Amino acid sequence: MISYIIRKEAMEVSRDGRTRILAIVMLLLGLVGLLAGWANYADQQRNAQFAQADDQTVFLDQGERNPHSAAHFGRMAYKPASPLAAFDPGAAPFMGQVIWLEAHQRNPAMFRPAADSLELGRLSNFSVAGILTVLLPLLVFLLGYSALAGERERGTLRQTLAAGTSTGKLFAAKYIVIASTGIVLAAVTIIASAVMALFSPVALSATDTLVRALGLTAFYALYVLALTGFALLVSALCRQSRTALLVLLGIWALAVMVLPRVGASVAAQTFPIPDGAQVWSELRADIASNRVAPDSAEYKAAEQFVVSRALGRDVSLAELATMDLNASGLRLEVTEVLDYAVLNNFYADIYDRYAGQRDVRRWFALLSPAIALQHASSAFAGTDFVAHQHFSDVAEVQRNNIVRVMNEDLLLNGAGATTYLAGENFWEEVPEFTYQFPPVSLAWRSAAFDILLLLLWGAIATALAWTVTRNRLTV
Amino acid sequence: MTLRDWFTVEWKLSIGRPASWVLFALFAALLIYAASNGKSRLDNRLDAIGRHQTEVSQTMSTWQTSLEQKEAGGDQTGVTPRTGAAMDVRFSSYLPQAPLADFAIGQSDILPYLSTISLATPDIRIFSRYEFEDPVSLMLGGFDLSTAIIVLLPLLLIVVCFDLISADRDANRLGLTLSQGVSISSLFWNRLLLRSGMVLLVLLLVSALMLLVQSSVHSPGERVLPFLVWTLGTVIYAAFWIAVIALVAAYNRRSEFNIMALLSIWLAFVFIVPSATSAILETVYPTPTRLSYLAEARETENDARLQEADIANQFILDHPEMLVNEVAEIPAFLRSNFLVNRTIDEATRPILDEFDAAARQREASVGIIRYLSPAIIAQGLFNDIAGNSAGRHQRYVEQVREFKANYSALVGPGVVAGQPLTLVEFQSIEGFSFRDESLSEALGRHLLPLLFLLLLTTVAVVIVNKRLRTFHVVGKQD
Repeated sequence: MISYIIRKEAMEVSRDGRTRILAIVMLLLGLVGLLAGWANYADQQRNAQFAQADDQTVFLDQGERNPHSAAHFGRMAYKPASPLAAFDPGAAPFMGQVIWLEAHQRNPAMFRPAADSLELGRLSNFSVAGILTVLLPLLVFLLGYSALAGERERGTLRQTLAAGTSTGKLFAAKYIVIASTGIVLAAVTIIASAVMALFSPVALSATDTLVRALGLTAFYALYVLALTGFALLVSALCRQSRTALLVLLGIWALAVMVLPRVGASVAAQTFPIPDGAQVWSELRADIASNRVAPDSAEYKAAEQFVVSRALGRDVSLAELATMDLNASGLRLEVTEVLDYAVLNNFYADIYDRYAGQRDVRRWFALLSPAIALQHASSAFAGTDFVAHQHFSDVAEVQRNNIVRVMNEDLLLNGAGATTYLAGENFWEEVPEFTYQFPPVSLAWRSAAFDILLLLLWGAIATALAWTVTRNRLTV
Repeated sequence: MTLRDWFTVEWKLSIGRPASWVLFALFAALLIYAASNGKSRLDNRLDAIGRHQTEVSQTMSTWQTSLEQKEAGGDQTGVTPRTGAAMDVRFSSYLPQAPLADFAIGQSDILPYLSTISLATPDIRIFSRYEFEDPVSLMLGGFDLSTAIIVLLPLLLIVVCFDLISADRDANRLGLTLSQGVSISSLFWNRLLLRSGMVLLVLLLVSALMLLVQSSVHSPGERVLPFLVWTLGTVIYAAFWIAVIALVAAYNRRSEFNIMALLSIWLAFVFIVPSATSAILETVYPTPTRLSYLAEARETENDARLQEADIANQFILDHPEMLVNEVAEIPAFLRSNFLVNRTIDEATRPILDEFDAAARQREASVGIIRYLSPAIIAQGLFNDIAGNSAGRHQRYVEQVREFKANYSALVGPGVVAGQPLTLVEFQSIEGFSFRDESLSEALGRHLLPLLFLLLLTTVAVVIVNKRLRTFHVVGKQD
C-alpha cells in the first residue's frame, strides 16, 4: 500500500514545474560551484607544490652561511589543500596558506586567499556545500509546505484517509518522497566531489576519502531529514498552504541567512581574538617574563639538556662547565627551548578561543541546523580550523627541528670561531618538510557534537511532525 | 478615500496585526544588533590603532632619546653603536576609520588597516604577520547594517507586500473590495506604499537612532553627510525592490505564485548573481599567486645575500655622494639588511604590480557586472561610504609601500655609508598620513548604478500602471 502512495507522491513531485526548475538550478549551480572549486583547488595545489620545491632549492643554494642567519631565513611550510576543498572550502580561503618557519618565533599562516578575492563574493558562499546548505531547505520547503495543508485545503486529505489509507503510511510516504529528493541531490554532488578528490594530486587514501564522503552524505541527509520534518510539521499545523509557505520561508531566512552570521558575530564578541599587533606585543612580553637569569638553576638545566641532546649522551653540569662550545649557539638553543612552551601556550590559547567561538555558534545551532551542518561538513572536508591547527602544529615541530639542527651545528662546530660559517653542503642535513593530512578520526572528534546536534534535529523535527500530523489528522 | 482612511484600513487588515508587529520588532532588533556589532568591530579597530600608535611612539621615543644623548655628548648611557640608525626608525601607519565605519564591516575584518613601517621589514612581511582572526567567523561574515539592508530588507518587503491584491483575489473578495468605490490602482499603490513605508520607517528610524546613539571619534556633523548618502542609497535600493514586488503583484496571480516568484528573484539577485559572478571573475582574471610572490622574494633574498658586495658597489655607483663621509659609525649588518631588503622589494615590485593590475582589472569588471544585481550596487556603495571597501584598503597598502620606498630613497645612502641620522634630519621626516578620497569621489563611482536602479524602478512602475489600467477582476484565471 505504502509503495502506491510513494509512487503517487513521487509523480506529483516530478510533475511540479517549480521543483524541477529548482532541482535543475541546484544541480547546475552545484556543477559550476564544483568546477570553480576544483579549478581553485588545483591551482592552489599546483602553486603550493611548486613553491615548496622552489623553497627547497633556494634553501640548499645558500652557500656558506652562519647557521643562525640561515635559521632566520628559515623554511616555508606550504599547506596543501584538502582534496575535498572543491566540495566545501569551509574556512580555508580565510586561513593562511604558508607558515614561515624561522628562529625565535612561531608565525601564523599567512596569505589568506580571501584577501585577494572580490568583496562581492562575501555576500554568499558559492561552494557546492554553500549552495546545498542554502538551497536544500528551499527545495524541501517548496516540496513540503502544501503536503498536508494543501491537501486539507483541497479536501483530498479527507478523501485519501476515507479510502483506508492510514495516517502513518500517508505521513511516511510524503516524508520519504520529500526527503529522498533532497538526499539524492546532495548525494549526487558529494559523490561527484569524492570521485574528483580521488584523482587529485594529493589524494587521501581511498578509504579515507570514502569514509569522508559517506560521512558528508550522512550529514546532509540528516539536514534534509530535519528540514523535511519541519516542512511537514508546519504543513500539518497551518490551515492554509499559503500560511505554511510563509512560515517556512521565514524559518529559512532566519535559520540559513541570519542566524549563522549573528552566531558568528556573537561568538566573535564572546571570545575576541586579539588583533595581530596586540598578539605580538603580548607574546614578546610573555617571552620576556619567562626568560630566566643565565646563572639560575633552571637555565643551567636547560643548557645541560641542550648539550646532552646535541651530543646524544648525558652531560653533567660539571662536564658542561669544562666543554669547549660556541656560547652563542648554546644561548640561542637554550632560549629556543625556554620559549617553546610559551609560544605553544600562546597559540593554544588562540586555538582555544577559536574553539570557544565554535561552542558559541553551537548554541546557535540549537536554533539552526545549518550551523551544525557547516561545522560537520567543513570538518569532514578537512577545511575547518581543527585541520588547520593540525597543519600548524606539525609545522611548528618542523620549525623546532630546523632551528635545533642549525643551533647544534653552531654550538658544536663553531667553538672558538668569531664568525662561524656552515659549509654549503650542510643544508642538506636539514630535514625537508612533509605533511600528511590528518586521518578522518580527527574530523569525527572535531565534529562529534555537531553530528549529535544534526541527529537531534532530524529526530526531534521528524517526531514532532509525526506527532502533530497524527493528532491533527486523527481529529 | 484619503490617505488616513487607507492607513486605517491597512492598519486593521495588515500592518496593525500582532504578527506584523512581531515581524517589525524582530527586524528592528536585528538592525540594532547589526549596528551595535558594527560598532563593536569599529571599537576593536580603534583600540588596535591606539595601541599600535602608543607602541611605535614609545619605541621611537627611546630611539630619539638615545640619539639626543649621543649628539649632546656627556653621559653616553643608553647610547649604542646602533644609535641613530635609520634602519631602526619605525613609523606608525593606519587607515583612518571613516565617519560611518560602524555601519558596514566590509573588508575591514580581512584586509590590513595598520602596520609598522620599517626598512628592516621587506614589503612582503609588512602585513603578513597579523592573520589571527578566527577563519570561521571571517567566512560566515560579520552581521552589520549593510548586510541587514542588502539581505533582510528585500525579504521583509516581500513578506509584507507579496499579497497586495492576491490575498483578496485568493479569498474571492477582490470584486467586493473594488465595489466599495475604490480604483484598483489606488488600492494597489496605497497598500504597497503604506506597507513598504512601515518597513522603511522602521529601518530609517533605527538607522538614525544608531547614528545618534553610537559614539564615534567623528563629530555628529561629520557623520550626517555620509549618513544622508547612505540613506539615499537605502531608499533607492528599497524602491527597486518595491517596484519588483509591484511588478509581480500586478500580474494578479495567486499569492503562492507571487511569493515564489519574488523569492526566486531575491535569491538570484542577492545570492546567486553576486557569488557566481565573483567566482567567474576570479577564474577569468585570476590573481597572481601570493606563493610565487613569496618564492620570488626568498630567491632574491638568497641571491642578494650572496652578491651583497656587488649590490653595495652598484648602490655606491648610483649614490656617489655618500662616499664623502667614509667613516662608518653604524654596524655593517644593518647595511646588509638594508641592501637585501631593498633588493627584495625591487625584485618583487613587478609581482605586486601584477597584483594591483589584476585587482584593478577585476574591479573594472565588477564596475560593469554590478548592473546585474542591485545587491552588488548596494554593497559597493555601503562599503565605500563606510570606508571599508577593498579599494580603500588597497590604496592604504599602496601608500604604505610608497612611503617606505620614499623613506628608503631618502636615508638609503646614509645607511649604506654607515652614517646615523641626525636629530634635525629625523625631525624633518614627516610621518605616514593616508591620502583619502573625498565622499563625492566615492559617490561619483556609484552615481550611474544608482541612476540605473532608479531607471529600472521607473520602468517597472510604468509597466505596473499599464497593467493596472487593463486589470480584470472577473474571469482572471492562472
